Amino acid sequence: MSVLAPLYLLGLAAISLPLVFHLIRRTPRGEMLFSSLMFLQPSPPRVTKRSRIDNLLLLLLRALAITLLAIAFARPLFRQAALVQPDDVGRQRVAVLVDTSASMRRGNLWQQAVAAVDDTLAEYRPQDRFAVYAFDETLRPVASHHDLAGLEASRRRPAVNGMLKQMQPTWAGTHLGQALADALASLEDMHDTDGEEVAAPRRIVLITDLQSGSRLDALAAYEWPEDASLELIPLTLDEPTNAGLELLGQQATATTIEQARDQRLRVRVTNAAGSKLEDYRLRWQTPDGDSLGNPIDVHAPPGESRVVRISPPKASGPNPQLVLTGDAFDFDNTVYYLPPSRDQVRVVCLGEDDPTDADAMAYYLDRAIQSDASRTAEVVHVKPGAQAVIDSDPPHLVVVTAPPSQSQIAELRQFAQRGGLLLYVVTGDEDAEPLATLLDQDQVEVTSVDPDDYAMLGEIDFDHPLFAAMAGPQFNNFTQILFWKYRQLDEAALDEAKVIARFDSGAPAILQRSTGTGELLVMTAGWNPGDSQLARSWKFPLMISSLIESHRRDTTFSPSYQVNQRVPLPQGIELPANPVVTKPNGDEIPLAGDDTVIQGVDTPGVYRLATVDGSEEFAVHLDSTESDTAPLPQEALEQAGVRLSAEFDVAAETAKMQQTRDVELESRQKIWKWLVALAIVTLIVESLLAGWLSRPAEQPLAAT
Amino acid sequence: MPAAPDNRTTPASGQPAGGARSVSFMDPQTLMQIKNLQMRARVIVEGFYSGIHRSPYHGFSVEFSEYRQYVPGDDVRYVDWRLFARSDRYYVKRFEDETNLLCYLLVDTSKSMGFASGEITKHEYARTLAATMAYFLYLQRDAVGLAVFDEQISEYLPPRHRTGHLRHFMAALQREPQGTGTNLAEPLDQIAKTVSKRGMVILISDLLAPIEVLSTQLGYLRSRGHDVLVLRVIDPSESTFPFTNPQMFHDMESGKRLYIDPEAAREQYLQAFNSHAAALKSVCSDLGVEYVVCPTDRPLELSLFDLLRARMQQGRAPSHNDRTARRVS
Repeated sequence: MSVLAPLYLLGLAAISLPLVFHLIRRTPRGEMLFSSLMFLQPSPPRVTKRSRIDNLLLLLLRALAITLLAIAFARPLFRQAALVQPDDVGRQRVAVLVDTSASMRRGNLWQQAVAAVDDTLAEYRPQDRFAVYAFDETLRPVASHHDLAGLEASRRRPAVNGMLKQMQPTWAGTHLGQALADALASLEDMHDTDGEEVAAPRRIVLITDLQSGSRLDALAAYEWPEDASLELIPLTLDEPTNAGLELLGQQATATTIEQARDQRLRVRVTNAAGSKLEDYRLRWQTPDGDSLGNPIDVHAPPGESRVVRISPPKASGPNPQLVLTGDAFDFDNTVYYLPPSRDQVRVVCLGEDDPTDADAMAYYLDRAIQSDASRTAEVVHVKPGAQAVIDSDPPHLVVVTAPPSQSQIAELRQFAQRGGLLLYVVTGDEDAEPLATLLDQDQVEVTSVDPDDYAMLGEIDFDHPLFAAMAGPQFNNFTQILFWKYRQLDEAALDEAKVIARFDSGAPAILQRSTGTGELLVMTAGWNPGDSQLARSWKFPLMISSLIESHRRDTTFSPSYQVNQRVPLPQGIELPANPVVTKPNGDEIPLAGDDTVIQGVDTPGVYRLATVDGSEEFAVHLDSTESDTAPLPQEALEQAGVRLSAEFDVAAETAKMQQTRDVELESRQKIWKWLVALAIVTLIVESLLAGWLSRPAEQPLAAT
Repeated sequence: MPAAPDNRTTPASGQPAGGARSVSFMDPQTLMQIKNLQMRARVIVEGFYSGIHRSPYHGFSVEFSEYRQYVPGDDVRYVDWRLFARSDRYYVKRFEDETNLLCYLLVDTSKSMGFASGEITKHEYARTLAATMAYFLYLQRDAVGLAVFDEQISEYLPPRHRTGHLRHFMAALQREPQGTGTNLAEPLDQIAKTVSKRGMVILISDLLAPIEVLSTQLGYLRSRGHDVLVLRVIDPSESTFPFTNPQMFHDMESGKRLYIDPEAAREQYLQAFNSHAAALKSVCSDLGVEYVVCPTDRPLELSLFDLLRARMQQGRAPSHNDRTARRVS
């Protein structure tokens, strides 16, 4: 026999109460102040009948009632089945996640992580299924559950330990939220392959330095599953000081490249919260570590950052580096400097407009795309009847303001398919056929609409790059831009076209459709004064620039990238027969002939792409969030919806399971009800007996 | 002309007779509602005066006067010209010396006086008694002194009859007692040594002290020629011991604690208390001291009767003929 709530058995002590009440000496209840005790003698306490046990049977009945009640409250049960054994605890499905981001390069964090994984695996039993993953920006299996299931139980831990010892932290950022979601998904997959263990809870063991720069935003849109829990094993260092260096760019105020080279570089020095130091130094050095010029002192209090403008070294060899010194950890202390090259922006305008006609679209397009310090802009005007729209390098943008010829349509379509950006302005019914071809439609209906007064943009997607720059409440008023006329397209007939803006009538004003790797934008009204007031608004040049920049960002080569970013190949270069990219450590990344981007830039430093004429260089920097090494509070995980749990303990789980089983058993047996009933009967008998015993003795009749 | 005896009081015992008491005298508990001590005394004394016209007792001091035939050499200022107008004879008025009576009020403020089974403590009753006597005597132009004592004298005012003396007297009585135990020997001895001129000593106390001490000191006072009136203030429960619950009894003076079962202890207590009271009475009687027991539920006016009665009886006592003669002469 066992009990669920043994603490209630302490109530058995109440058995002594009736006894105590019987035997307790009559003590004075209070004190009485009296003028003088000179006439009084102490009187001994009177021994009354109360000092003796009057009725042993009554006492026993009362003690029995209390005993029954105490045992009933303790909820007794008869254990019919054997006790729960540790092996009875359900199999666990565990994903052990090890942080391999760049911040794990600090001190002995990686060694701590390897040891923590080993300790964690020691807690699990042979029947538990677990997998070990490494994560930074992505989640990668170190040892999947399939791999480990194929090994003998005794060899799993050494195998995982061996694999981890061969690994090193990468240079990537920490996308913790995405890694957790992916790990849970992998457990879900594990779940599906083994139908009998549907009810087994999912468990994630997270081994990380949990730095503040960890990205948890992916969890915002993720609902943490009910059956999943996270055991956090935070890794800590005694040395909290860390400062990081980030390249912000160069100010584009110069008008020539030579002047631009002299412009001062903007870098941000970030000191992690909790750092013990706040004074650092910046100095230029050669790739070999030789100092260039005098260092600059930087004061950044813990938890704050400072933007520093620093001139590039005057006399320097190739690829000077800006280094932050005075820091405990140097993994994030280097900026690789490459002199900026001047951008070129080429736009082709296909139309019959005269660029000097103030009523024409070409006139305003010329003025919206201007050269400045950082770029050279060029707008090429091509007539619809011309032989070729694109004569040499593909332009950054092709604007069509008049129906092109058949050959031009084919050329534009190819341009868009290969990643070009095409803006088609519908000016009349005759645009129906070219549009149908470009949009891969059999037919497109174009109807000219001439509103009674004017139309306005009524519904705008401010997430689109075309409008994103004007999403702020102080900029997003488009009601002052009136449209006198526009063309109506049958929206339902346009497959896969996304409407970016609509007129207040609901008709599409700007549509977007992806063709191949490029984009096609269709405007149903022009910006010329005959159609609208758009060209005369400050918003127009911004829209065109934003459009070009957003497209160029992904497709145009620049001198600086982040680790693991896709680097587009520079334009206007000729690659050798077997093109390779040389990494900072000398390794080579081979390129295929039709590659448009370079992948695998996983180390900070200067990369070199060999071309026929020479080489192109670009620098790769660390994700700046890795410098924020102050520990993130665990509450941040809970606020993101993560359910934290304690360490897995077989004994505790066994006890919990035993308790659950006992509760079920007890609820079936319900012995307490019988005990309570018995106690009530006992009390009734006790009352009757007490009443009988205290009945008044028979009075003899008084003599008269 | 003396008034008819008041049949509502029994002068011999000083106790009111029958149910008329509630009509004639103010209930002490009601009186104690008056916070100002002098006002309280005034109310009692005025109530007393309203009844004294029917009382056989007169004032004993300044009221008494006589006429005597004028003889040459007498001060002509004392010739009663009105009587001369009526009788055409010269008579001279003779007065009792106004400062002839010196009265000392000795008030016990020991801790045992703080006991009360009802609402009135013995101390409250005692100081009201003292205030009443003082006011009464002050009205009769007698000099009243005060000695407040516990183990020793804590307040002392020499007997005076002057403007403001009564106010000082009341103020001294109003002060809350800080006393501890009762020591009758010290204050009585001190008074006896201090007062050279004979007068009257009124001792107001619960007399919860050994009788031997009291006997010695009262005898000493008497031997100095003082008239002594002992007013023993007791709480009604002290004389009846009506308690029922066994409990710890805490001596207010000594702090001693005793477990007492009243049912068992009552008989022995009452026996001891009564024998103590009887011994007190016997001692006082032997010494020619007027001894009156004043329970705290006793109307205070009766104490004034006791005062007058004591004066009259002592005035008639053979041992005091010389004093009477002195006053009358």
